[in-house]
Amino acid sequence: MISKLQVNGNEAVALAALSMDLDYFSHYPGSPVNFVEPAIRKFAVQFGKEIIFNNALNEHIATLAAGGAAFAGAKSMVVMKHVGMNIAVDPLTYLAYTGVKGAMVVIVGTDPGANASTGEADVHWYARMMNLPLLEPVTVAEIYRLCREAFLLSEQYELPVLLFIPTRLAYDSETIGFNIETGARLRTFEFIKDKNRYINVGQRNIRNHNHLIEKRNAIAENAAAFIKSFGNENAETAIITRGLTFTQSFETLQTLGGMNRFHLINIDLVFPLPALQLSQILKNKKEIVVIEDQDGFLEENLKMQLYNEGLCEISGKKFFPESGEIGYAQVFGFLSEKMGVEPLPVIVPEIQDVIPERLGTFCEGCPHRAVFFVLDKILKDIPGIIGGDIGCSSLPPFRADWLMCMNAGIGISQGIAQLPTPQVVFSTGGDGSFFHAGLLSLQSAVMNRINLIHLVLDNMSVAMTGHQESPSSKKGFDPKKLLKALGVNKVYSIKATDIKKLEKALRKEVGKTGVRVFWINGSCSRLENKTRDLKVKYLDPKIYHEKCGECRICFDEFACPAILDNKGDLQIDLNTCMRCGVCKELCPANAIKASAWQSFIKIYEKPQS
Amino acid sequence: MQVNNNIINLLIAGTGGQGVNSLYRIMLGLCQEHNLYSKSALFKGGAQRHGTVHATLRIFLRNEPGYQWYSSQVPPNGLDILLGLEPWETIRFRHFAGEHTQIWSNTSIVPLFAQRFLKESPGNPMEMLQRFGNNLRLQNYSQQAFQKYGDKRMANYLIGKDVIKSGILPFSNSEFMFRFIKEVKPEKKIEKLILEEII
Repeated sequence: MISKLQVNGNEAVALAALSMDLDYFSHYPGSPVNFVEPAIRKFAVQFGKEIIFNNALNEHIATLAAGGAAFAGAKSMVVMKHVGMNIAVDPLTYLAYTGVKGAMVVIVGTDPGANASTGEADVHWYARMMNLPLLEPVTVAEIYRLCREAFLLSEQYELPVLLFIPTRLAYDSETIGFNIETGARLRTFEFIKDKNRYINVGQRNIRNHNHLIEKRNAIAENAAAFIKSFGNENAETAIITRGLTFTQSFETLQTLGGMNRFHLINIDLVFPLPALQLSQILKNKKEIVVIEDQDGFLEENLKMQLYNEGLCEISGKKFFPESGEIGYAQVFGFLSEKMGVEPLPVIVPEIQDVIPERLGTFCEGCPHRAVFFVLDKILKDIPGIIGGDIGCSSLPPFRADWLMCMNAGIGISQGIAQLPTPQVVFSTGGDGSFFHAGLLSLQSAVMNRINLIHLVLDNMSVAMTGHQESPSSKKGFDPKKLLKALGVNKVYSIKATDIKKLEKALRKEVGKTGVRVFWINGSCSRLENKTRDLKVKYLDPKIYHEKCGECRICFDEFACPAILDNKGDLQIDLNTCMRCGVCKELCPANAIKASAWQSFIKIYEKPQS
Repeated sequence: MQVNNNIINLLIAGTGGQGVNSLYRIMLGLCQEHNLYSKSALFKGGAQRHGTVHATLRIFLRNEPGYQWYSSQVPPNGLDILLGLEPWETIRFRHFAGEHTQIWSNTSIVPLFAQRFLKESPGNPMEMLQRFGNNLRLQNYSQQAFQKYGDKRMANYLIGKDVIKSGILPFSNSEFMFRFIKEVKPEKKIEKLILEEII
């Protein structure tokens, strides 16, 4: 029975996976596909499905785990964002050689335009490198359909299948029809030993590689169903799209009456290309334009595979940029110009200014703000660097000295710290990054006897992507035991709000040797916290102007968004202040106080949990 | 872009924490209540607070062939309604607007740079907004929300109510108010005030 529901891209993946009897789900959270996991959990309960979950600590582990489950005959899914694919490619390359027994679908959230990422690197090329099929849906309803197709392809050819969802589509929402049978199926799984398949070395690997190439070619020969064709098939100009540029092109042509003038073709299976069918479709065209974002993967593959087919020139990146997201306006502008339609009037042309991006900032009450305030204060006195990671600890982007990839905090810091330099290196990173690969990076620093100070900003969750659990979220987790076992010379465990203690301890460690770790505890201010709720309810912090020396440290340097400048007078916005108390601690004039503060703390203060 | 009378294009813009998400979910919920096909999207960056957040909603008043292949993005110049919970954000999305676009904008400014030591803002958004002409309605919704409900975050409720009152959307005031209570679950005293308005 077909049911209908308004869902977003993440939820469409979840529904598709459940409709195909998903057994095993693994992931590392990353925008824009960080909501697939909670959606699967929610729908699994609703439909009575039993799914095994692996909340892996990084994409390498998540991919291997999903592969292992698929080896044993399970239908598995692994989800990650595009930068995580850089880590997953190592095991995926081998899973392509070995193949899988059950099914394995790899969902990757891409991000052209870097709307939710630190970068927009084009990971389509990995599909070519690994010879794995790659599907790219154009709408939320198509996510559901193609995700199901991915499972079918994977089962048929015993290969992992990739499915890419860009940010814009992951956050799109529409009503889709779906069909899920209620109730769990009973299955048992078994890993069947097959050394020819699973032992990849030397000539065995070459044999497996040949087998993979055969599968790839077979998929390409049978992929006619993955071509969507609209408009006039006899038109001289073909517009070929993949992903979101299809809906923009379709609507533009439909609205401007251009459907009879162009042949609009969308390719759902972006790799391997159904070259035979495409060469037939395109053979009489006088112009072929590919509209796609990023590097031009589809255009390059079309050129490569159809080179000897006597076709006209294929172009795309001649007209569309390789960077940033291709917006509706660009597609509309291109197609309307081709049709000789007048350009659209610019509304309010006299506003020429580009409105600057709103840079990220720490939330009110975020423990990370206190830590960076202390680091900035120390670095006013001594030359130094703040090594940055990614996630909430890297907001706002200019606080640290670089913003790149996971574990760039410890990783790059140790490279600099190893050199003879007078600069002190404070490396930072969150608990999410620490368990992702930072732990190994730290151990490497210990092994290499690097003089490094690393701060783990532990807000008890992988916060930015939706507060997924991290190992330090669990009660009883003892960072000192873990770090001492790694050989870390000295471990400090300090509350983020205790800025005086933190500053004193950090200053003490400057110039000393060995790897020293500061485990900074401070729960994310967006997480539920009963103590904080009580403080918000009962405390009225205020800046007493008669005491205020107008140094503006709280406003300019601490920069809490809850401290506002009301025509020169600084005030605390009680609607948004989270009562962390740090502004009170840092005020040199002792001008910030809350009524009932002291007595409240005595009665209600508990160790932060 | 030709105005398509079968589709209402709505864009809600603001900063993190202003309730763009809530207002978007309310409008989406109203579409579902009315069995109206819609395509929509919500965009927010990595920051939990103070970043740009915007949502687009395309309401298809009639379901015609091919609509399933339409974009969820608003076509250039195709916006019918622009709701700006913050003036800089209203201006940021001006390129979606056409001569027919009706604009409601809050006048309460959230400074562009939460990090005070970075450069100054590029001018005065209120001066820029004045150039949008007759289709623009400006109010300090945050101040009104604070005065009426004790919480400036109720600005999204007030701006939503105003656009519903205009009659452009096929939803009633009471439908919007009930939906607001259901989605946002405001404090009891605010819920009481809203219910009193309905009565």
